Amino acid sequence: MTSRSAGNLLTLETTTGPVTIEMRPDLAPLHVAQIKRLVLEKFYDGLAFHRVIEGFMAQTGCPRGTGTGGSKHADLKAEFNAEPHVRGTCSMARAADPNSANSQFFICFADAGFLDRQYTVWGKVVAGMDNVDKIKRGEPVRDPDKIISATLS
Amino acid sequence: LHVAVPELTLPETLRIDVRLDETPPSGDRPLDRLRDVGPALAQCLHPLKEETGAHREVTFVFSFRRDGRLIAPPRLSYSDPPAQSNQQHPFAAAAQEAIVDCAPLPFTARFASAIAGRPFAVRIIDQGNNRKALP
Repeated sequence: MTSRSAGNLLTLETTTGPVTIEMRPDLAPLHVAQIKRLVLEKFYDGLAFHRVIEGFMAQTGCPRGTGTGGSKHADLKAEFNAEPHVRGTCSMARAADPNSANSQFFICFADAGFLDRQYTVWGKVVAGMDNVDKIKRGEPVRDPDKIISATLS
Repeated sequence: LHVAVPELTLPETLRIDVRLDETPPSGDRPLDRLRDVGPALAQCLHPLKEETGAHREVTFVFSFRRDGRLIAPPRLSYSDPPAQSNQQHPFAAAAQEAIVDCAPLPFTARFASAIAGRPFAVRIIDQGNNRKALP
């Protein structure tokens, strides 16, 4: 852990085990602030990894479990940055509008450079990537793995 | 006596669905397969991506030449919302303009020879409030 991670660690207790993400407000302050807000509201607790593609990414954060939902908060202005999409990168899902990210995010299983500067990177898995690898695949996923609880530290 | 009657063959329409929120990024490579055409067209549909929240859908029929140009302007075969007073709905008009501006598409020689002159029916769907968030 680095000094910048103080107060910016997000731990997802998932059905496959704990996953710790270092959030990067230096890269995406609005996105990190929204995720922190949602964590404190327990928005993510119980949500499924509803779209999980082998060799690509695991997506979660949709209250409908379909990819069409979001939170009650306003959509976020894009904060595209130079951080690359590599294994463990946490980035925000969005619709066609670059400013439509809200609550859904994904964790990359592998390098996905074609997403660079098109999706807002806001963090990286620093522990528990083996548990991300265990998340059940599917699009949609039958009987999906879930976030049991999300906490900040 | 058996007379073999050659079967009359008509060009089969190639159908493609382009969902504004579900189309993966298209690379810069020449198009070599039918499945490459939808993403390539989708890259040109940015004018349609303004969110209105409403479900919108149009289908256009058109054909390509071997060099990737259109043989003729796309013909609207379906529109939801429907056209009013003989005037295309703005979504349909914008889609038509986007398709015209998209040509010529960079086909490989092999693919171009396979699809030149064949009708494409391209269905463009905006799911409105049900757009999915994706990477």
